[in-house]
Amino acid sequence: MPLFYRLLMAMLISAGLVLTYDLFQAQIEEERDQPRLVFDARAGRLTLEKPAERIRIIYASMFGPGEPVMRVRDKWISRFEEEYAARLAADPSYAVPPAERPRFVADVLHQARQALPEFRQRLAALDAAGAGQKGLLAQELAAWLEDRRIAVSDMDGDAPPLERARTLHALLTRLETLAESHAPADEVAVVPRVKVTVERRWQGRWVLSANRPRFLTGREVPDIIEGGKTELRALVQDDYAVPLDVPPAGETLSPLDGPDTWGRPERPWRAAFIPSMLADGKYPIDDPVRRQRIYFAPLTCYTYCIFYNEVLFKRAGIDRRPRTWPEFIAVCEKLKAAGINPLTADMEAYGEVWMMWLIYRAVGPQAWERTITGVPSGRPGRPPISDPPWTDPRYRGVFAQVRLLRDCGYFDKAFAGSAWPAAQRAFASGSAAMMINGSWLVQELGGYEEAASARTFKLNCFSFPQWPGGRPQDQTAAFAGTCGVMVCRQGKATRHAIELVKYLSARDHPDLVHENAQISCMKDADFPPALAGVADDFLSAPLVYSGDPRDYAPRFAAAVLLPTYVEFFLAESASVGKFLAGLEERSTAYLDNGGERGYE
Amino acid sequence: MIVSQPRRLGGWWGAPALFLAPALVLFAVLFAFPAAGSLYVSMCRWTGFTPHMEFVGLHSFARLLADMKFWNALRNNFWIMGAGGVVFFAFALVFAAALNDRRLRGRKFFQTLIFFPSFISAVGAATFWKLLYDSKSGLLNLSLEGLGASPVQWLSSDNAIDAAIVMLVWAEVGGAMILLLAGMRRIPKDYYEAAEIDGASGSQQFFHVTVPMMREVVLIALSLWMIGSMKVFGFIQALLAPDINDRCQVISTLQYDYAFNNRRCIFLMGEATAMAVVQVAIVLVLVGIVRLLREKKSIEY
Repeated sequence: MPLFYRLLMAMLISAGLVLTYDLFQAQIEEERDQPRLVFDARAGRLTLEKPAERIRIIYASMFGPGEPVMRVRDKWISRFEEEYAARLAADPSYAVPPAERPRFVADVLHQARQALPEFRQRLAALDAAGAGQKGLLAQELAAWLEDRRIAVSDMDGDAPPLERARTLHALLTRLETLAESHAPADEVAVVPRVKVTVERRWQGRWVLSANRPRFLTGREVPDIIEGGKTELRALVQDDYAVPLDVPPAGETLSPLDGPDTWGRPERPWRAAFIPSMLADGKYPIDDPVRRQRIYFAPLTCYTYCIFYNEVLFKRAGIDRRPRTWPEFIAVCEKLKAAGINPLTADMEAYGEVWMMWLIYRAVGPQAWERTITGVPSGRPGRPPISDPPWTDPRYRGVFAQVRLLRDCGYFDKAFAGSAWPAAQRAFASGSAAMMINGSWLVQELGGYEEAASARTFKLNCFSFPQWPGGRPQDQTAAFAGTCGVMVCRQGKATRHAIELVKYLSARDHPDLVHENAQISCMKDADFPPALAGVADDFLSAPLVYSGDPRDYAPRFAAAVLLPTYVEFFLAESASVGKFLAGLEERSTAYLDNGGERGYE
Repeated sequence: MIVSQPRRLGGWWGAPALFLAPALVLFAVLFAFPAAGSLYVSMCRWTGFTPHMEFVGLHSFARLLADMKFWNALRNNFWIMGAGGVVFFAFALVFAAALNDRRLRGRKFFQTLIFFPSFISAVGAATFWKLLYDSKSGLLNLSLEGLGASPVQWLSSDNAIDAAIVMLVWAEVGGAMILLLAGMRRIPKDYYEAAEIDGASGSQQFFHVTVPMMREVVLIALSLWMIGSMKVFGFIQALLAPDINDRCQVISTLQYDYAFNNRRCIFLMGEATAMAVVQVAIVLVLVGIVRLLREKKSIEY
């Protein structure tokens, strides 16, 4: 046969095999959906399970396959499937109405009667078999019964063969009694079987874009989307999210005011969250009603801090972590003098965190927002103005410090041409002493820390230094960006999806905190031991700041602020005055053109 | 003898129309309709999440004209096409000429070696080059340091596009080489024999016989390179993502950034699609120019 035909045949056979497999799977699923008798050997009870009631929840996540958080979530979602199915099966609303019982019983009993003669024969053969064969034959008989929709519990366990044979005899007796009964429906309990399936879509950071066609067509829309709070903004803007503080149609309590079902049912679910984290679930969008609602259930949060290698600090003779900015600069100097690169970074990644933290400490987030979105000018017909303007001395001080880090050579020389995650590798291999990053770095560097000897790398962290002369409340404030979930209005299992969110909020935080060094947004959770360096500051912070200009001015942030800053941060040499004057000019044009609307 | 004319199905156009219909329907459904749809989207303000599109005419195109990121991306595409093209064709021609020489031993081996990068996916190739280029621990900088030279910031915003060109040439040159080699092997030996009798040297034969006779093949390879360099996406995205500096964007990565980037928190489908429309228009103009060159003078042998 010519090669072409052989290849063609191979392809056809492969396609045929795949189709056959799919058909078998479909048939197996269909079989599972049939009513069946279940014999509980220990209790001697025979129950009839009604065909499975199927509940499918679609869960789309920002975590990709294989990520540590994904593994934890996956484990707990599997447990939810079982626990929730059991809970629903016990729910009276899923119970089989008395009028329907005889129909189910008659159908299954007919099958059982048909099977009885052969069952007797097989059992007799089992009794006659030698001790060595009994166990195997008992298992075969159980499988044979399973095909006839009669399930026997404890047949796969470690029960001895004789015990199994006794169980099968008990079942035979019970079936024979039932076959002769005049009212079999009264003798068999009919219970509902509920199958809960959570379809996980581990789609990575672009989860929103990946699901956009589904929102557009309304088909296969995820019931739950997991992501960063800021990144899910589009769903609230376009009214695709379910508000968690509004009662669903026909109910009196909102999900947040309903019980914390899987945690402490005596308290409302809202009480399970750290209040400031939950309050962060609102979005500053244009709609006056929606901007008051909570759409986002925060599960974990991250903070930005400065990570350092304790080994290099010791080598440079630094025995305490810097608390203020001048102390931090002194630490950089000391490291440099010891021949150690004080800082490392990748050119694009996290450079803006220096700007964000320095502005938070020196100017405050509220003032920063006023600079970007403006305040009324006080003159009729005139657009809002920045207050304080970008040319304010405080901003000048902040950006002068950003340049100082660059100009004094605190960053390693290669940083302006380094692509993520090279800096992390460099940091873990001991070629720089510090790097600014999100609290997830602990998890990302877990492998390095285990591999490195304690003589070269020991990870620790400290809070962003305080700014002398800044407002006191800004010096003790913490930063927390939240990650969590949104329930989608177009989903087909919204009510069940909320249960899943409640379940996760109650159950998976111990694993996330202790295994993945995630900071939980739940009140009952511990603080991750791996972030002990910032624990005191974070937990005692009277104020928690979250979000950034992407929340209230996403277009300005994307088109002006971040690109301009990156240029300034990466340039070999740059003038602070010129940079701020340029920013001021573009900011004024932005406000004159109607702010975000002007960008549309 | 009178031969009756066969009856035409439905008049003079019936039969051709019937035979062309399936292809036309497929063309309309799979290309014309989506293309018209894209043109419409480019004239709308749309996030892509709701069916609601607001018609804004040429607003998105006007915004593109004022968008420095777009002009910068376009410049990068033309730089890849022009500067990259020179390097690309120089290598492809040299490789093809060398492999066309029957005196070279192990031609199959070298041919496979040069073509090998074409087998590797864009992501795989870019990951490999990213490790080479890494300014902190990349092989290139380690080698430079070993030689006593100062390291180069290969992926900095000043150098990243040039670094990407090297990677693109490495990855794509094998395909062009195969095309040119096939063209060279089609040239009848008589021409070389005649040139040899006339006393032409090897290089004279190359420039006065081989190159002119390969005009058609070179123009096809040129068209493919131009189209490819205007549409390049995977290599750049994989080499420079997740945070591509605005100065290193090309049109396709910028489109992706505008249309799909979650981290920007805004989705500008209108502007991204307008960019795609401009991109297609540029490709059409470029291919049109190449076609004009092809039709101007064709050589038959």
